[in-house]
Amino acid sequence: MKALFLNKYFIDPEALIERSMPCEGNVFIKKGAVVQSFDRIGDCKVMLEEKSFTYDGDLVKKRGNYISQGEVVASSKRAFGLEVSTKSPFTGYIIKTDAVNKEIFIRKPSRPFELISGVPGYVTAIIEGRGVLITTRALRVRGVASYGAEVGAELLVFGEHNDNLKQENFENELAEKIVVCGHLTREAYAKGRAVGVEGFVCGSCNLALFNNLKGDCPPVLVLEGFGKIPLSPLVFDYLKSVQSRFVVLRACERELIIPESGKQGWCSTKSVPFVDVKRGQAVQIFSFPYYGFFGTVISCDEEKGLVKVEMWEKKEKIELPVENLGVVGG
Amino acid sequence: MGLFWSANFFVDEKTLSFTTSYTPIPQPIFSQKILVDDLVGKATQKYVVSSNPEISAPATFEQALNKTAIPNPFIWIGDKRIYTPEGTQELKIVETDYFNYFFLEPNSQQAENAWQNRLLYGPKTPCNPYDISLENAVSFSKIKFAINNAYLKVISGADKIIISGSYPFFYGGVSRLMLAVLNSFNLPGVWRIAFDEKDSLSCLATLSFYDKSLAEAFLLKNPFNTTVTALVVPNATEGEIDFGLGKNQSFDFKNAGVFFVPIAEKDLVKVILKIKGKKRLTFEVGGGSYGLVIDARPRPLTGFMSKSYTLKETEQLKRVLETKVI
Repeated sequence: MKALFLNKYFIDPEALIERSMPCEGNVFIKKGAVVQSFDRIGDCKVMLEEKSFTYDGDLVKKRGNYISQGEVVASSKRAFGLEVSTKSPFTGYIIKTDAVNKEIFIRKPSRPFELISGVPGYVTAIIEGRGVLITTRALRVRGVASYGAEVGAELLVFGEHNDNLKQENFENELAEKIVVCGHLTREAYAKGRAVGVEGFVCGSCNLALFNNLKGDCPPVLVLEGFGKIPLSPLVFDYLKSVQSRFVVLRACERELIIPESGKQGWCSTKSVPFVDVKRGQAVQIFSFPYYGFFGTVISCDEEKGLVKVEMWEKKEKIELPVENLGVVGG
Repeated sequence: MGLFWSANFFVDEKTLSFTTSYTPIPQPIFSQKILVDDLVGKATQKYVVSSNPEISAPATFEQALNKTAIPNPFIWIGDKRIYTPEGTQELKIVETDYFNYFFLEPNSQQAENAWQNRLLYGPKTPCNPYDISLENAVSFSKIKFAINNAYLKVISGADKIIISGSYPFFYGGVSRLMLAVLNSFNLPGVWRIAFDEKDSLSCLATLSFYDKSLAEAFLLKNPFNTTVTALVVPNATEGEIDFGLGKNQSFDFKNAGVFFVPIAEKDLVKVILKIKGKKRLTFEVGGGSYGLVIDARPRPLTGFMSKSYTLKETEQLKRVLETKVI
């Protein structure tokens, strides 16, 4: 008896990862070089934003001057010998002054940026002045829905595979991390966005939350489906074991890429549409009330086309048609 | 009109037997290109026609449909799109369309989630009341969408509508489907509706791609004996039926509803209706195994916007519509 094989997790021996800088700079590495995860491969100077403020009276600083926050930039004389001065609210270089509108434009000083490789592998191509393409061995975890662009950051796993991510879990240390959780709520997403979370990977979320994602917000990857479906314990346990690793959330292609040099027996290395149903296989159930839950095959009735599955969390045994399950491992 | 639920159907070249497959081919998110040989359990099949573009087959679903001449015009209702003689249209249904018919789900957000998951992972065999309820609710919305979008080009000019499909569409009897069709009509008309519970039309469409005459010969036998005549007259206030026995039976449509008249398939009766504004219309209509059904409810059917009303009305109307002519 054959069942659908859900090729959700598989090892890609040649995953291509792009590492790039926010602006033009120097790339030190050459094509074909072998890199490790924390190798420095490029640097640049990030020019930070420009700001403006208005002043009163006459300027005491000129274009090109470097000024610190709180430094006097203009002063005006009033009656009885009084003097009113304007202080700069920012630190930076004066790049422009507007005498008509009495406005000063300041550019904050540049900040050095160092590009590290993030993943071990070899450099396949150089993007001149911007970054590199690295080929690496990686585990790809495919999701069912996603929103947003590609981000790369450190992985952080929360709670258990069927837990809701709560507002209380959020602290400033989550900034610039990719957060993994069982179920993503609207409140948790809003809070995560506010503290600067780089991206979310969840087992499930409500369709209403997903449909409301708009514009430039942290990318979201939904791995199992919509509603209250727990994250696959197989993936969750693995992600917990590789916490703090640099991963790539490629939301535009509905996948999470985890650089992995070791052998992972639970995920596939080849893609087949159908596999023979066998005792001990890990399967995902597509039938109410356990839609999206996982279990292990304990027996199958070829004649009736039924498979008996033991649920992983509920310790319950259920029988269902072979069409209503998908093999995910084993 | 074909309710295209199962993902694939097969034609055995040697025996010319047709089978539909419930092999769950999900949306192409986890599957790479699937070859015909990979499809399970149907070792004898020669041809596979599928709406799933990821399945490589000798003919695409649309190619097969375009070649088919029977029955013409034809509407196929799939999960994501409908196929009409004018071309393919994306099926757009939102939660508000099916939630009121999804009787086992009180939460609209969960209803939306359930349908989205069903779309993501493809069709599965509904083996519990909840899954069946979801399929039923969505098929109501799909039929409504298809009829509204193909009304002028297909439905308004048709005398006979064959509704073809398989489990789970026919779960709960043809009365449920009949109600879905009646609820979808917004304009008056008379139609003979036949029900093909064995999903033969999908197989015939495939067969006609390869051997048109064989398919036509099959259809000429008029194999669908589950029929009903539906007379939709939204503004009728009262009416009479002349059975040809000397005395007419009169109806009062003031408390607008659906009326069942026990008339067999080969019998003909004259229906005289009085429309608002005192206009009178006369129809000569036949019956069917499910008789003649006169639907005088005012259109559009606004009551179905509420879940409690929908449940009450559906149960009442199902009882009227499931009456058979012996």
